Amino acid sequence: MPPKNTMDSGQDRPIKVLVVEDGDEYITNLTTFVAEGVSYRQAKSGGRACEMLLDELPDLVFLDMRFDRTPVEELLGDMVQLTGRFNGDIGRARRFQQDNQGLFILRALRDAGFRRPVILSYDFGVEEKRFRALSSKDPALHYCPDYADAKVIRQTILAAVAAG
Amino acid sequence: MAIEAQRRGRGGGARALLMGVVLALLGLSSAELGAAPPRDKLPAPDGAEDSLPGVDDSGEAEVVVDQVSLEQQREHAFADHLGRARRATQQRRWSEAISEYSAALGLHEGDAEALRGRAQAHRRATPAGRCPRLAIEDLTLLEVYDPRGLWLSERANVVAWMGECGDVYAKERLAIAEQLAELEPGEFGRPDDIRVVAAQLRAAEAEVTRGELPARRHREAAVAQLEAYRAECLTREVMPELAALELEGELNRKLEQPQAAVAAYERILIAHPDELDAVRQAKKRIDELQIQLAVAEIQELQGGKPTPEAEAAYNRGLAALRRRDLSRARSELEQAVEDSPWYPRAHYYLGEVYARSERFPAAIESFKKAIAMERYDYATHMALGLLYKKEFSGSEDEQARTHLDMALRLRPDLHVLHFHLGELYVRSDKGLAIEHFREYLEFGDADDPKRTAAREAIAALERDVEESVPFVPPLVPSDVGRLDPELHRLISEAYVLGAEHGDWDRAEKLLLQAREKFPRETALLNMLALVVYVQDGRQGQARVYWEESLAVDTNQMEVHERLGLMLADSASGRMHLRKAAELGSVIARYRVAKLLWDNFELWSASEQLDVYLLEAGPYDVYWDTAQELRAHMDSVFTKIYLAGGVGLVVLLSFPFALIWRRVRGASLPQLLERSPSCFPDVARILSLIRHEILKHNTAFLSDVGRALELDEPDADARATLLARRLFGDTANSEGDPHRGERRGIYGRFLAYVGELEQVARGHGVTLNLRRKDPTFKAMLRAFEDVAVKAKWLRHPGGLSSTKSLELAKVLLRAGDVLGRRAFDRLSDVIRSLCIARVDAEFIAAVYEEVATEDKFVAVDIAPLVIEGEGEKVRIFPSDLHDILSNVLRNSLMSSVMYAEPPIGLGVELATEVDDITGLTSLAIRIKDRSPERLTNEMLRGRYVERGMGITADLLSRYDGSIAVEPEAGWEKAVVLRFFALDEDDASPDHSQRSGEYKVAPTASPLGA
Repeated sequence: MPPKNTMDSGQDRPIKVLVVEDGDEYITNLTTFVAEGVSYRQAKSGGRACEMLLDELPDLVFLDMRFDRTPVEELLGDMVQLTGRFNGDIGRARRFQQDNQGLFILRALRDAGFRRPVILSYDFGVEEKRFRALSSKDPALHYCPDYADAKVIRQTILAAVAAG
Repeated sequence: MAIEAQRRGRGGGARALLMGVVLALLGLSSAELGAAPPRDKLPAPDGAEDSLPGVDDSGEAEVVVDQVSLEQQREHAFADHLGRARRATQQRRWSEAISEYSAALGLHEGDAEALRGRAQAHRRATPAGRCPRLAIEDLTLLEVYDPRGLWLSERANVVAWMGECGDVYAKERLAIAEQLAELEPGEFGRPDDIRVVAAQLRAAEAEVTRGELPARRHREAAVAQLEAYRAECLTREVMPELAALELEGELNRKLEQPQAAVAAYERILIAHPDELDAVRQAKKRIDELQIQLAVAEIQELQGGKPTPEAEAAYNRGLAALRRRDLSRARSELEQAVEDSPWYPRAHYYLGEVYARSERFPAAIESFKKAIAMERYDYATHMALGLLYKKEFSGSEDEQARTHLDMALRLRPDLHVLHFHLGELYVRSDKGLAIEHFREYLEFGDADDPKRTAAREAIAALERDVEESVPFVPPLVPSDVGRLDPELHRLISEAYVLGAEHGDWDRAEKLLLQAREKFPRETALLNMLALVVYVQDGRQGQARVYWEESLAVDTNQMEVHERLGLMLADSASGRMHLRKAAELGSVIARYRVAKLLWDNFELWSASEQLDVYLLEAGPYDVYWDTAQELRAHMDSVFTKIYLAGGVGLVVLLSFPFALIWRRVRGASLPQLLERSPSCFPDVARILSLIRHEILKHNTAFLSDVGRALELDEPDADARATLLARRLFGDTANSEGDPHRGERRGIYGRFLAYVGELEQVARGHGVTLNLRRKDPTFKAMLRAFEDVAVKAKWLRHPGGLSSTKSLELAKVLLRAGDVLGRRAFDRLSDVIRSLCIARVDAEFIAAVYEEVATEDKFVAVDIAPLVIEGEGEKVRIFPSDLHDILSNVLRNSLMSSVMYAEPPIGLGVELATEVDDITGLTSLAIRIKDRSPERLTNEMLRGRYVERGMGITADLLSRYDGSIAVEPEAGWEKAVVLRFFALDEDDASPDHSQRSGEYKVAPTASPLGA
């Protein structure tokens, strides 16, 4: 059972968040706008994220969905199956892989034994059915819409940690 | 003519020398002769060769030579030769006759009979058209050997034969002819027409003689011969020869004795009425001469200046002519000359009017009257010469040459006349033609189009011609006739001194002396100018005199014209030309136009040229050149106007282009409406924008805005961070925030906008998201508003509170647009894109269509078995229809071909959820019992025909797939998979029923 984490200064320890993204936008925003009571680390690929889990287990993973800047060899997912799914069109398959890379990384994290909350930065508001399909198998999955401001993000983090 | 004279002179000198040598030789050889030529000694009798008779020293008996026998033998031989020669002559064996006569002359040199005989034989032996030179030489020897015998009878033959040699024996012939003419008429050996011959020879001499006075004397002598001839004819009661009468008329004309000339021509009409050409020519001459007589009579009666009424009519006529009102001009000018018959300028302009009205005979008459009154009016000579040149097809070229030659003599500065004369002389004297063309090339305008023609003409005419430039003296100014008699005499004397005797210094001195008495006479000053002008290197002094003349009378058109031409392209030259043009000089008018054109004063030049073309006529010396210049100007102006028009169009096109840029193009909904098939690509890009751009916390814009507004402690840090996020870290991005490079969120956003435009272009649509699409218009403007303040955003610390507040407002506004609102708008766009519901009903309908096709009419097909509920997918319904029908058709066909009956298919609509991505897919499993081998590679590699290649392409467009999978209870299943819509995407308003296509594009609800 992880220690209680809050964002109140002077109490317990900061919430450890592993940010997995292909750029630096989230880490920059979060460290700027949602810094109080949270410490952040960053991984730029799913593989790296899995490695960092072994170093230090975060309280929460803040996961980007789209990874179009990550080298293709570091992308996760079965390209053979994906290519077949897209009629042998490797380009489309690759794009699908990039557009949904966050979910492939989520699967890898779960396969690596990480059971703690994951916040996916993706608006499932228009794809509730999809989120239900995912979250029904992964109750620790949360999402935060793209348009969320600092306050919403902070609330989502706290709620996810509290629930997790 | 000068060249001809020189030729004859040289030829004549050579002949004289030859004759002298011959005579000298003859004189030497006949030194011992008394009355008879010496006789060669006869050869010695046989046996007595090499021995001379002499004293017999040996005491033997003397041999006495029978001198009489020798003489007789000689005579016999001579007679023999003569006899044989005569026989040969009778038998027309000329060579033999010549030999025999020569042999005879060898025995009796200078025998008159033999000489005459040989001469005759030579004459007969000479081909027709050739000069019988040897015959002439033999006959002329008679003058030496038998001057009082046969020579007297053969002189006429000598004259006649010499006439066949051109002008080789001109002088000798003349001398003999005049000797014969002095004989009594009818005397033996005197031809009846010998005086005519003498007159002709005299006339020919007059043509080649230098100097007016010698020429006049020859002509007068010729006329005297002809008059004597006529008297003889009268005595003999015979008609004078036509040639004699014609010559008499011609000579009297040249002697300026028009009455005598008229009389001579009238005799032709009487004596030779059947000689039609001669009669016509005579009448023509009579008409001309009578004009001269009339003019002379007028001058005698009136002369002087025109009346005021005549002058007024003249001015009106001139004005009408310049307006091209020929009818009015004619009536006024006719009035002027009727009022004042002695009005050379009026006659000249009347001639112009007649010429332009194509009344050429009347024009010629008027011009000739003008010339008769003012002999040295260059303009009239030019007009008449050009009229003859242009309108008579060569038949009056001689007249044309005469008048243009005169015009050139009067105006040697009008170099263009050389060109016209060159053209005229091409037909008669190639050497002169070449000279004129060369003069034209040397002194004419450098860019005159006629230069090419001149060069070509020279090349065509090129031949060795002796170059001789005869001196052409200037002629007396035209206003001399109205001067003070003393001044007139002085000017004429100066003219004679200079022109006749070449003593220009004395002429100038005389004029300068006259100037002391007549200091302000323009005619005197003008004459002085002419006298110095013709002398090399003194044109400057000529200018001085002309300018002094202008100081006395500034309205002298010709003086201004001469000065203008002399000073060419200078300010004063132009001034003189303009003045001359104002005074009526069309030559000056043309030169002004040309100068302005050469100096790029294009429109002024055009104006002046138009005035010239209005004032001048076809018989002005620059008319043809002016036409060409006008055409060239028009061409240049056309190009200028075209270029200007194009420039104007280009200039005007900029605002139009800008307006067009604003109004053309489509919005995103319009793109989807025009080309629905592009929506998969559009949907993808919009999703990227929604996720990539908006996920980058453009909503933090509002955060930063609030922080700045409230002046929170970390507001500056947040602002700086936000600036880096939005516009990147490099300093360059600040320089041009609109550059749209992939720096920062803004750069990526612009790149996605570019992708949308590219997709649209690929579908033949031009997007104008900035102006036509409300959603993107708002987003782009919001980004731009922030971009303008990028510098403030990067360094908010140094901002004043006012600027800080202003920045805060911009950020709050942008945050509102680019936050949730933008997200929702884009979502709405995506959501509204085409949706098709795939359910059992749809499948059944497509199957029914396929199964009832003609190819399956004869097949007993079992009803389709459909399982599953289906899903909604994002696809263009007609594409879905095509895909499905192709697959169904293929499966059915394969079943018909390979499966055992009953033939039938099964369809299962299965919903599959990917456990990694959570995405739902609709799998349409089309089952058949056909054992025909079918693999994924065959399908995807387009190896299968029957439309399956198209099916695979269509599927790819919608991120669909096709695969062959095993299926329990069937041979196989061809499985079509599509990503199914999420519940929220598939809103009822946009649901699609099978068979009814209706695209439901959205106008983005921008809060318009």
